[in-house]
Amino acid sequence: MSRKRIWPALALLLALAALASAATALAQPFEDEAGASWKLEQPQPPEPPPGVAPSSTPVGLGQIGDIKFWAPNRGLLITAGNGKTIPPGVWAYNGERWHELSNQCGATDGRIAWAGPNEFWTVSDGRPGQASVNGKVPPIIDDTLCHFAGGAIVGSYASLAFQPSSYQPMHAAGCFLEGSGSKDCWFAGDPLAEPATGAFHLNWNGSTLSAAPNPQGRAVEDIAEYEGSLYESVRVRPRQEPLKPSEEDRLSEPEPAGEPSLIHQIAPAGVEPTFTSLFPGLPTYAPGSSPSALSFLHLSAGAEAMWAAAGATREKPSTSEQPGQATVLRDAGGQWSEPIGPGSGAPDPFAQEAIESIAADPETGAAWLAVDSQEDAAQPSPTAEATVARVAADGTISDTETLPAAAEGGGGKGAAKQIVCPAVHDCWMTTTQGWLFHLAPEGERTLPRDEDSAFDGGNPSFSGPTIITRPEDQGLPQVPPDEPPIDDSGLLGEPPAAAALLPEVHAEEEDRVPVALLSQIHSRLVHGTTLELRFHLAVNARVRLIAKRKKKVVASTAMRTFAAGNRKLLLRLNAKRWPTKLDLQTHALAPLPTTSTRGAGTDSVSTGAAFPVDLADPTGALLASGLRPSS
Amino acid sequence: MRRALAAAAALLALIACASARADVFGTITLASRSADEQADYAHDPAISADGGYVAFDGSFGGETGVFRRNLASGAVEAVAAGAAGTQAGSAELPSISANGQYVSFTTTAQLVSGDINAGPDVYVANMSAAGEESRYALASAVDGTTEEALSYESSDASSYGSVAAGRSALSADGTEVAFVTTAVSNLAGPQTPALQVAVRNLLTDQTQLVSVALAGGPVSASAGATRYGAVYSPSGSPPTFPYQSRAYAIPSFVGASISGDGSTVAWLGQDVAAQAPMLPGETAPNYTEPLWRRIAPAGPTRRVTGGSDPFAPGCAASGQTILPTEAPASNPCQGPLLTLSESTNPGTWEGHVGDPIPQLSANGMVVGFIAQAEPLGNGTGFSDDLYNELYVANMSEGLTRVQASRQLTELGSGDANDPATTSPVIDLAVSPDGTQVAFATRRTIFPLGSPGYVTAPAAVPGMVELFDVDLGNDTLTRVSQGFDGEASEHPHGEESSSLDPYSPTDGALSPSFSGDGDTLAFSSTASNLVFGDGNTPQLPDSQTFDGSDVFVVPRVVFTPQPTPQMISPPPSAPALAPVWQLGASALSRSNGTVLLEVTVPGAGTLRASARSAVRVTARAHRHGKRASRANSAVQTLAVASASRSAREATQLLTLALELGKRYRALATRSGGLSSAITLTFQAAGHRTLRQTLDVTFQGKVARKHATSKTSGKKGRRK
Repeated sequence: MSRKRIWPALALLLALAALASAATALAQPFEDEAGASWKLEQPQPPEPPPGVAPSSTPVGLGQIGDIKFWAPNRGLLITAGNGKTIPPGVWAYNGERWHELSNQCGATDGRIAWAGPNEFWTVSDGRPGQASVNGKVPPIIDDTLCHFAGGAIVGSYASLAFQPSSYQPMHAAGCFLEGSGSKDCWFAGDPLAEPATGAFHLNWNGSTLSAAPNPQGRAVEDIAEYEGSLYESVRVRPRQEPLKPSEEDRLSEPEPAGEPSLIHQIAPAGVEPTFTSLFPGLPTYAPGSSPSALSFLHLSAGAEAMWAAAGATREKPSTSEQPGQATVLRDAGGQWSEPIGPGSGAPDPFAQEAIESIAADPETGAAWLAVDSQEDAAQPSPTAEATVARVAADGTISDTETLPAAAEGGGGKGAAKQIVCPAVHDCWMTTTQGWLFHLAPEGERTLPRDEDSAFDGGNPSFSGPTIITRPEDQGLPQVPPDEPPIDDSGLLGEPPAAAALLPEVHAEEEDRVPVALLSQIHSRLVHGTTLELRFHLAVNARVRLIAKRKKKVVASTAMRTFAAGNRKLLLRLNAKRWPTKLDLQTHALAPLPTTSTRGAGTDSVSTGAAFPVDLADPTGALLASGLRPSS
Repeated sequence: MRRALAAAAALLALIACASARADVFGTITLASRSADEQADYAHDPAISADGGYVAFDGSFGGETGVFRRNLASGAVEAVAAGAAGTQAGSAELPSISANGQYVSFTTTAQLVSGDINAGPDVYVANMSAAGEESRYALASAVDGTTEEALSYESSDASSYGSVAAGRSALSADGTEVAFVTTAVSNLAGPQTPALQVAVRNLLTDQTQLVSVALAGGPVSASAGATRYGAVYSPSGSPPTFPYQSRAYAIPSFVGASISGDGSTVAWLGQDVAAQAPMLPGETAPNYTEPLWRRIAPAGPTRRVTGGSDPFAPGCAASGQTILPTEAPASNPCQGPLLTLSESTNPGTWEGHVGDPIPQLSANGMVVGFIAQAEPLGNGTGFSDDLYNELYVANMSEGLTRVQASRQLTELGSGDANDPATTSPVIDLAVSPDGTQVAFATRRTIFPLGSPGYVTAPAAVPGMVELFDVDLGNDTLTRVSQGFDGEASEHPHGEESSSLDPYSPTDGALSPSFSGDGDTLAFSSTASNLVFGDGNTPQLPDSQTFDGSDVFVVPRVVFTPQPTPQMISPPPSAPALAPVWQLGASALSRSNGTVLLEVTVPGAGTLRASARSAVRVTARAHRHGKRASRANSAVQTLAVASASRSAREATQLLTLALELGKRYRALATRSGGLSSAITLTFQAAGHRTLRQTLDVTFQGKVARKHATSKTSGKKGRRK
């Protein structure tokens, strides 16, 4: 065979081989070097009510705001729920399966922050206590906090809406992870309401929750813990045309237009300053584009590196600007690099796409990206397919996969949204519709079951929520429930865990407790039928005194707002409709200060003797009924 | 004798109640799913008469189109499906044959070689086709050809052609398909106007024009710039296909129904005077009414209702050529509905939310329809608003339209802003045997006694719910409900209490009966009908993904059991007993006491207690070292009491009431001490008797008081 005839034949063989390998690649789902592949692993829905048939098909869990793992066999996700089948709440993974952990504290865009092996916080949806102030409906999305510990919600925090101290929507949460439990957690989100400047931050110091805004003023979108430090990323609000001042970020100090501070380091408690801006100069921006053309940086930290990734915003800030370019940053031992982005010199691999999240792949030096089209990111489609891509440390995109794989059949389950890798070759990806995909080698799709009773109730087959109660939100008017609690006294089984009923008090933190809102209550009758009530308020509060006679209100004051200090209320009574009970409604307008429990004795307020002896009731029946503060 | 008659009447009433049972529907199950997967959305279900299959359209398994589910195995097959947004994925509005083998639908896809037009066409899929046999048969084909599609002329060739109604376009044996043209076509020769009704026989390859004008040929009329065909189109011009914005909505479609036996076709006609007999003066081309025609054997087009009723006894003799503006019910030409006779008279339907295509029983003799015209009983000028009401008509010969028509729903009020009473009926189905009518509405109040609404009404109107009228039992039952027993619902945004979170067509639609009428298929956007319904968007803002699903619900059929019957022996005559009551009188005596004379009905204990309003002065407690001021108040206190026992039957007892020591002085005041005496008589085995008397304790003034009065110093009260 002549050389002229050999080369075409060889070329044909090579082409055929390439086609064959491509066909094989198309037919086979992605497998990494450890043989791990992505597969749909959708949890079973919770048990239906008695007498109702269970679901025979898997169901999307709804909008999953966050998915985080403490260990490969201990994970959490927070969901907004899906119709009547999936209630909003928190789900847990125990190495074998996902199950509903709590039907409390769900969220449309919630966040999770691990604070210890069996302790975590959630940023969750608001509750009706915040709703409808002066006819306005406040945004109740993601502006309360729940503190889980030991298989119960030990604290719940919220604020009245439309107050200067109101919680702003929170998008990020993280804790300094030390030892068995963190005493330093941060929750952050939107800028403060005008005229204040700064970004809303709450800090839990182990006993109290206090506001600690970042003065910069840009909305915080993500927090990650890396090498003992917390890092937060912020969003540069796009400058729309025509420019509206109200749409600009209100910064406490001006920043160079082309170098906004996008990542801040949060200092541990006691270290000043609290917030430190990082690396001016990164990321680089595409020529002709502004920082607002880039979405915020999603953060993810592994053992050896922290990653930050952002895609271009869908809308260009202005017609004269160039669109942003997808950017991936990497911090390894304090050395930041830009594997993907204008600084890398490579073309944009994710043009017209949105980066929804990034997950450091432990021990591999790589990371997984969750990618969506910008159109779908703006209006998610239930039938969109999910796209994940693996990025090496040098920016090489080694694998891009569309899920569900063709071999799995069925339609799309929504675009990729959250991605997390609790271990090497072990990742989870959620979709916009609440479906879960798991990257794992065959044969290792399940792990030794996590038997911590805080996460599965000690019953491996139990599918219902183990956490079904939530303390009243601290900082909100306390509204008594309309219905009595469910009488479960006749039910068989163990009594509810005592921890679920305990106030948020930790053994090593029992040195401070909130002071009573009301104290030093004195009363007397003036002019025969006018009740004068004197009291001391610990903080600003709204107070109302209601007199009832056999459940019927016979007299009441208006709801009055008092500053902290000694105050009094006057209530005129009718001798013919003399009350049999007095209620004092109190709504604290600020968090209660705490006081040491050492040596101070109890701080309870006895109100039973506050009501004067009634002339018409010399037997003291009214005295026995007492003055009952209702808060 | 009277007692015996009453007992017999009660027994008859019981027997009557036992025979008129209310309908009960069982557990709702999700039909738009396979064993592994739920549809992304599903609409327009049609259930086969044998109850074995449900066809629906929507998005399933990554494709859009028409699908069929085997209800026994749970398997879902694509009837005609493809990628969303493509011609292959455009199939909609299925109807299904009795055994589920054949499914008709409309699509812009060209599924046979002879389909060379770009517009929508009607096909029938043979789901049992195997091997070389073609799965699809073209229904909108030229008469006499096998698969030569009709040719259409329109400005938008891809949007106009032929369409078939969902659920009701296919005969039970799957051989005859009713459809409507939406473009000028060659259906009945060149330039056949659009909006004509036709039936294709797949066995004989005949395509028959059904909407024949009285003058012959296709219906064709013009009013101004608008050219009319036989079928009413809400927008005036024919609708485009595929139907857009299907989320939470009924598509604005036209169509025709064919009876299960293939004998009869019904459609909502316009230019009725050109198609069916009316009064000579009624010629408005935009006048609408449901129309009905036998095609086997062929007969004339008839009106289902009126409007006028030219064939009613006395109408012809009256010589009327048009209904007067306010025709009284006694007018011999007046039909069951008030359709005013102005030239702009819209007829029974003028375009509003709802599916106006009439539905037929299997033999075509029962027609169900919704109409906006005012029922005759309401009187004219009842309201200018458009209220859809549900009717059923019997097309048997010899009946006037008043005799043939029956109103099944009625407004609960005239308040257009009250959805509980005036929400429109927007969709319906008639069971093959004509005994059941299902309909969809948000209304919660149904004031008609016949049929009687037997379901507990929802507290407030929410989503559109499905109801069933059992014409045999004369009952009305709500069919759709959440798996927890609550009303239909789905997630929605935070709304203030004054805003309605659901749109008028958000909820149950497209009912379809199995052959025996005991199974209903329907679609609903509710997320709580079945546990595990997981395709509902968090907020209803999608133009496509509305979370609608197809459901199936069976009627619970109770095994007939003979009603136990027993006539008890007559009750024994009651024993005579004295009237159990008190008789009492009181006498104030000068010694300050009151004498009571009480007649008691039997042995027992009589107690008397007198209470008077007295001023009481009390001193409050000490507070610190300072004494508070004395206060006085008027209180009602017991001032005297006495009791006595009676040992015999009726007897007279006397009781003397004397004031307590601390109150005796009050009797000597001017006017004495007014008091209310409560008499209580207790006897074992009897109810306690109570009676109240008002008396005055009035004693003579003590001498020393008189003295003191004289002296003016002594005896002063303290």
